Amino acid sequence: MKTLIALALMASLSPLAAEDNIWAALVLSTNENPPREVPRKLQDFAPTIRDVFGYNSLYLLGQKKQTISAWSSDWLVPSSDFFFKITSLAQESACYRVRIELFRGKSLLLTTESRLARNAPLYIRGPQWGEGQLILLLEVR
Amino acid sequence: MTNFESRFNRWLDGSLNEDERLAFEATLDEETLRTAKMWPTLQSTLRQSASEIPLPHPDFLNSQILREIRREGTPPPRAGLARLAWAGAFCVLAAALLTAIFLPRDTRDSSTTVVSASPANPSVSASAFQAAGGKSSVIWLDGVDHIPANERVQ
Repeated sequence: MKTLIALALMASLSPLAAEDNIWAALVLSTNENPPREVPRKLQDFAPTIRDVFGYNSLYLLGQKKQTISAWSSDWLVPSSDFFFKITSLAQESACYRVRIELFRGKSLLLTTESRLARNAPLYIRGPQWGEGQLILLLEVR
Repeated sequence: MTNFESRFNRWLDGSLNEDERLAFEATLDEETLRTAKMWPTLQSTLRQSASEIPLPHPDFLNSQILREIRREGTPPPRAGLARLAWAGAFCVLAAALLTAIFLPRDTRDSSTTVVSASPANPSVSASAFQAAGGKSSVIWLDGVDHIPANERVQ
């Protein structure tokens, strides 16, 4: 009984770990008939992409995972064409406050300051590619 | 009690010896001495006029008095300290659990939010919103150059 209560408390609080990972992915989303089977690594993201962006098929073009900690700055390169510079500004109780710079090649596309919580992804709608849409994903894990 | 009061009480009770009584009476004025000499008469009159008042149901009254005496003399029942401690600990745990489950936590902390988003190209606009469910966020870029289908992206 006491163990169950302790486990329930721990699960409900879920603070950030001393060192977390940040995962980035470059995804091509398209509409196909019949829909393509969702890649295993994108299964958690497919419902949101379908609802928000309106696409039923996903291709994982590239991904990268690396550690994130407070007051660090590093490159995160899920693909050679689209990549991020992540600067961790602060570690708050359950999220990281980060400055994200999105590059396409040598060109800076976007600078954003965001709070990234664990298992709560950030979706960035990128450019159209052919009939599909490029979407960039960032998630603290 | 002063020395005079002590001797006065003993004089009224008749417990002074003869020499003490004479010495003490010499210190009293005439009026006091005359009033005080009436005291034994007054005592005996009061004793004679006082009579016992019969109480109704004396046995019942006695039993009630005895019962009250016993009740006041009985130590309070001992509280089961261990039992109380366990009950307290259980209440604290239950309250913590209910708070953790039901109290709305700061959604800003458990969800991803966009503070600012600035495209480098002024012809590109960026808007941000929470996805359905409120945990995830979306940055929506409009006006980014279209990539032709024949161009390789990797």
